[in-house]
Amino acid sequence: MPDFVSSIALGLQVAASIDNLFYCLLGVTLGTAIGVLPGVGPIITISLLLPLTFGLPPEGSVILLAGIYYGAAYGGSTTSILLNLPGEASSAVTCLDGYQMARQGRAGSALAIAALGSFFAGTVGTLLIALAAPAMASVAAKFGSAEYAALVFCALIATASIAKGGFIKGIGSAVLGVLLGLAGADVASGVFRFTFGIAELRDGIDFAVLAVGLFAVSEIITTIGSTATPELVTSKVGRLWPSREEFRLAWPAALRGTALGSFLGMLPGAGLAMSSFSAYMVEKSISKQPGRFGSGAVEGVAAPEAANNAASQTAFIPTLMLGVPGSPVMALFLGALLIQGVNPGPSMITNNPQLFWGLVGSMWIGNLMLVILNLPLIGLWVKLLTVPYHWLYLFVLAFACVGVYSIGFSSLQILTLVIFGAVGYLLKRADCSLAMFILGFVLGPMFEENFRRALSLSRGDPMTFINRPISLTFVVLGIAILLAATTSFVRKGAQEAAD
Amino acid sequence: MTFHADHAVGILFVGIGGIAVYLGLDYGFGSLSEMGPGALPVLLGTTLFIFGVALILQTTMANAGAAATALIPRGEIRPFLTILAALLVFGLLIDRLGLLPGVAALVGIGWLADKRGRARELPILVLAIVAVILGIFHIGLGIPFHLFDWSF
Repeated sequence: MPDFVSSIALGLQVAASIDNLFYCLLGVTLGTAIGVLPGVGPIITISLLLPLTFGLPPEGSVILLAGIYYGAAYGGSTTSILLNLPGEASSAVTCLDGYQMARQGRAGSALAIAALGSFFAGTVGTLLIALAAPAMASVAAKFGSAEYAALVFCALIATASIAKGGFIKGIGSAVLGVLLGLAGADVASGVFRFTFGIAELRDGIDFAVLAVGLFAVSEIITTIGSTATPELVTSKVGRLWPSREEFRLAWPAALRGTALGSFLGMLPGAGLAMSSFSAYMVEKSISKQPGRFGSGAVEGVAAPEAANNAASQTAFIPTLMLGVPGSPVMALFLGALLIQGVNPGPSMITNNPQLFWGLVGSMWIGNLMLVILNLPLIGLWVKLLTVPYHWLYLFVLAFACVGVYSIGFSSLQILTLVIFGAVGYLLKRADCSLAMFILGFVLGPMFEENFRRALSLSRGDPMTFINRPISLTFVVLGIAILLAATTSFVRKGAQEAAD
Repeated sequence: MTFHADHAVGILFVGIGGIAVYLGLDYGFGSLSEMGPGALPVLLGTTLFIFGVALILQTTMANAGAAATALIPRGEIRPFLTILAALLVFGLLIDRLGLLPGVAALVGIGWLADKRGRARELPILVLAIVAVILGIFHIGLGIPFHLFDWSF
C-alpha cells in the first residue's frame, strides 16, 4: 500500500508540472471541442496531432492525446442534451432522455448529472488503472511469446466478430493491415519485404501518414455534403443543480454505468458507444417504470455518460500493460507511444514510472478540469456548432497536409497520404472496417515476432500454443468466437439466399 | 450474376492474398522451427485468399437477382476527386514554391469539393487558414518551413 500511495504521489507530481498541466488542459479542451463538433472525432484529431507529437517529450504527448480521448467522451454529451445532436457515437444514446429533459426545462440538471456522473466514473476508472494495471502487469510479465501471439490472435478475432461490415470483411481488413505492417526490412533476416524496389519503403510505412490518410482524408470526403449545418434551437439551460429526487435516482444509475463501462472498456472491440448503449439498456430493463425512459428519465443520462467515461479510462489498461489495443483510438495511442520510443507492456511501469504514473495522475486532473471547465463554458461549445462544415474541413485538410509534410519534409509523404486517403475512402465505402485495418497494422509486427519466436523456441512444434494454459485459453476463446461468428454468418448467408 | 460492392472486396482479398503468397514464397518460407521472412506473408496471404473466395461466394448467393450497387455514390465523386487533387497539388507545390503558395492552392482547390462554399468567402478562408497554419507550425512549433521558394 505505501507503494501505491507513493506511486500516485509521483504521478500527481509529474502531472502537476506546468508543462504537463498545459498539455492536459490543451488536450481536454480540444477533446471537448471535437466532442461537440459532428464530423470531427477523437480518431481524426489524434491522427492529425500524431506528426506534432514527435517533438514533444513522451509524458507531454501521452497526456495531451489521452486528454483528447476522454475529453471527447465528455464533450459529446453537451450537444446531445441541448440540441439532440450527438457529437460522438458514444453520446448518441444520451439524446434519448437528455434532450427530453432539456425540452422540459431541465437542461441544467441533465448537464450537471452528465458532468458529475462522468467525473465520478472518470475517478473510478483512473483508480482502477492505478490498481489493476500493476496486477495485470505482473500476470503479463509471465507471458512468453506463445501467449502474446495467442492473445493477438484472440483479440483480433474478438474485435472482428463485432466489426462493421461483418466478420469476413473484418478479418480480411485486419489481415490487409498486418501485411502492410510487415512492409519494410524483416527484423530477423534483413530481407526487404513488399518494398517493390522503392528505397523510401524500406523503413516501412509511416504510421502517422497512414493514420491521417485512412481516417482524416477519407472522413472529409464522406462527410462533405452529408452534414447539414444544425439549426440552433437551444433550450434554456435552467438551474444547474439537480433536484434531490433526480439525485436520488441518478447516483445508483451512475454507479451501475461506471461498473459496466469499466468492464467493457477493457475488452477488445467493445468501445465507448457499446458501453453507453448497454448501460442504457440495463437501466431500462431494471427500472420499475421503464415507460419513463425516452421522456426524460435521469437514469438514462447518468448511466450511459458514466459508462462511456469509465470505458474511456479502462481502455488504457490492456493497451499499456499488454501492448494490445482494443479500439482504433487506442491503436493510435499505442502508435504514439512507439513513435516516442516507449515500449508498452508489463515492464512499462518499472521502466517508465514517470510516464505511466504521470499519465494516470493527469487523467484525474483532466477529469477535474473537465467538470470545472465544461459547465460554465456550455455557451461557447454550443457556439462552436455554428461553424459550418464547409469551412471546417479546409482547416482540417490544411492541418493534415502540413503536419504530414513536417514529418520528413518530403513530398513523397504527401503522395503516400493521397494513396491512403483513396484506399481508406474505398475501404470505408465497401463497408470494410478501418478500425480492423489499423489494429492489424499496429499488432502485425508484434504478432509476427512472437509467433516466430514461439515456434523457434519449441523447435517447430505448433503444440506450444496448446500446451501452455494461458495460451490455450486464448486459442480456445479465439476459435470459439471464430466458429460462432462464421456459423451465424453461414446461417445468415443461407437465409438471405432463401429469401 | 450482378456485381456488388462486396465482389470488389472479395476480388481485392483474393488478389492481395495471392500476391502475398507469391512474394512470400520468393522471400523464403523457411521451416516451422526457423521461419523465414516469407512465412507470415504466405500464411496470411492464404488466409486472405480463402476469406476472399468465401466473401465472393456468399455475396453471389445472397444477392442473386439484386441490382448492382455502385462503390462510390454519385454525390461523393466530386469530393473524392477534388480532395485528392488538392493534396497532390500541395505535394507538387510545397517543394518548389514553398509553404504559403502550397497551402493557398490546397485550400483553393479543396474548396471546390463542397458545393455549398460561396466564392466571396474563399479569400477570407485562405487568409485565415494560412494565418492559423503559420501561427501553429511556423511560430508556435518553430518548424523551419520555406515560406516562399522558387526552385524549378
